[in-house]
Amino acid sequence: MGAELTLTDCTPADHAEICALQEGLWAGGPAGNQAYLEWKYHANPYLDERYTVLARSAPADGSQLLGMVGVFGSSWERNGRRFTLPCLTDTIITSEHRNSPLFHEMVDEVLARLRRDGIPWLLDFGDQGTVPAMLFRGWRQVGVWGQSVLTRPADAWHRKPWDEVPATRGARSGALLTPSRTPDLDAMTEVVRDVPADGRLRVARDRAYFHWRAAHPLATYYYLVARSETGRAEGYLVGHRSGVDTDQGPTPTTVVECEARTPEIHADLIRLAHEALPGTRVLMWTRDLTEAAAAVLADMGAAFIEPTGRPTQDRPLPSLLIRDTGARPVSAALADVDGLDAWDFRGVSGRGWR
Amino acid sequence: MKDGLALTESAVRDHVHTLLCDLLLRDSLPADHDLRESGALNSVMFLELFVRLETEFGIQLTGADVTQDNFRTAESIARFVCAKRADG
Repeated sequence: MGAELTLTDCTPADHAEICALQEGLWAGGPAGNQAYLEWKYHANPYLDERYTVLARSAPADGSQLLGMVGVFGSSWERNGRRFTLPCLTDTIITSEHRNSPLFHEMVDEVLARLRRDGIPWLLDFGDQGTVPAMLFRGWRQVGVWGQSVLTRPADAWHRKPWDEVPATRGARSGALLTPSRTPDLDAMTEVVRDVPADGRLRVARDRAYFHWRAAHPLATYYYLVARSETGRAEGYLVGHRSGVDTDQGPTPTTVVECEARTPEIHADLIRLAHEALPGTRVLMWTRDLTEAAAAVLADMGAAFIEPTGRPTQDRPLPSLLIRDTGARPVSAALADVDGLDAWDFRGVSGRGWR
Repeated sequence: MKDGLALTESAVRDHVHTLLCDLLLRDSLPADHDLRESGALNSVMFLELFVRLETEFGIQLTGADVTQDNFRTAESIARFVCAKRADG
């Protein structure tokens, strides 16, 4: 690292400066960015900001903030055990340092801290555009996977606001599908608890997880819950839009979670979501999608974009990179996490409820 | 360039050198300049390098191609491009 830079922890005293630097990325204004920072790194139920690294100029140069790489906690479960895995996120570098090794120096510092604490892996669900550079620096590509895109006409704003979409019976399941702007934590946790695991790693979802995710201050969420005649929760779906865009704005809408007891309920939730969610484009991961749901998307005219294996072509697609920090030992349950077959994305259909 | 199947190894080396100089805004670059050590290629530049290698040499690159052996220096990139072109 150049002698003129120092790498430091992230403390509350840094927050105002970070928020100003990150405005281009977060776009929430001072109060919104501060709320996002608090939410992601303080309210996160799994990990605080201890692995987030800042780069500053030398004191003689005013100790100016030059860059940040954020690390937040994600929780995964497999065979009854839970694992917290840190994820790389919220990277920004001042324009005058963008053609420098600063990003990799900050990441190397993160890796050193994780190694020191015995944490064997760092995940990155980030932008495909960074893949070649990350691979060159020793990251491994767990995989790239497909995504569906339903494009609607720009003038399709006859749709009702989500709050006014009426509860609807699903054509396949007969379940009652009810839209809401607030999460039904009981229903969602009940469904997740009852959907059997299949031996792969899946996101650990409980009340703490759903409560935290729903509190994202720079996101807008749209919820659907499916219930049977008896009132039992049968499935749920969560749609996401940027909280700094409007329903009619240019950003895509993403189905970030869809979990259900049966393929029929899953398909009904996906159809209603793609009919009623706002936005001109609705995205959804297609890895682990049921045949019934894929048929619904095809029937609605969605495009299915599959990976080519070429980073220059796969840039819009979701992917996972992983970096071995060198910490040992590695739990046997995590020994195969560098292969895509170890990951269960059945219920999680979009990138991380951003 | 992509139609130049008879491109010599020397010509590939020159072209890779020019391409890297363009990306790094430099007039010249030693053939053994260590791109990993210098950290000079940021993420955007690396992707741009991928795009230009594909379009200008008519090759297709996968994630598996990104090894330090292949991309460490201008010289190693040129060797890799020649091998990739030979593989067809």
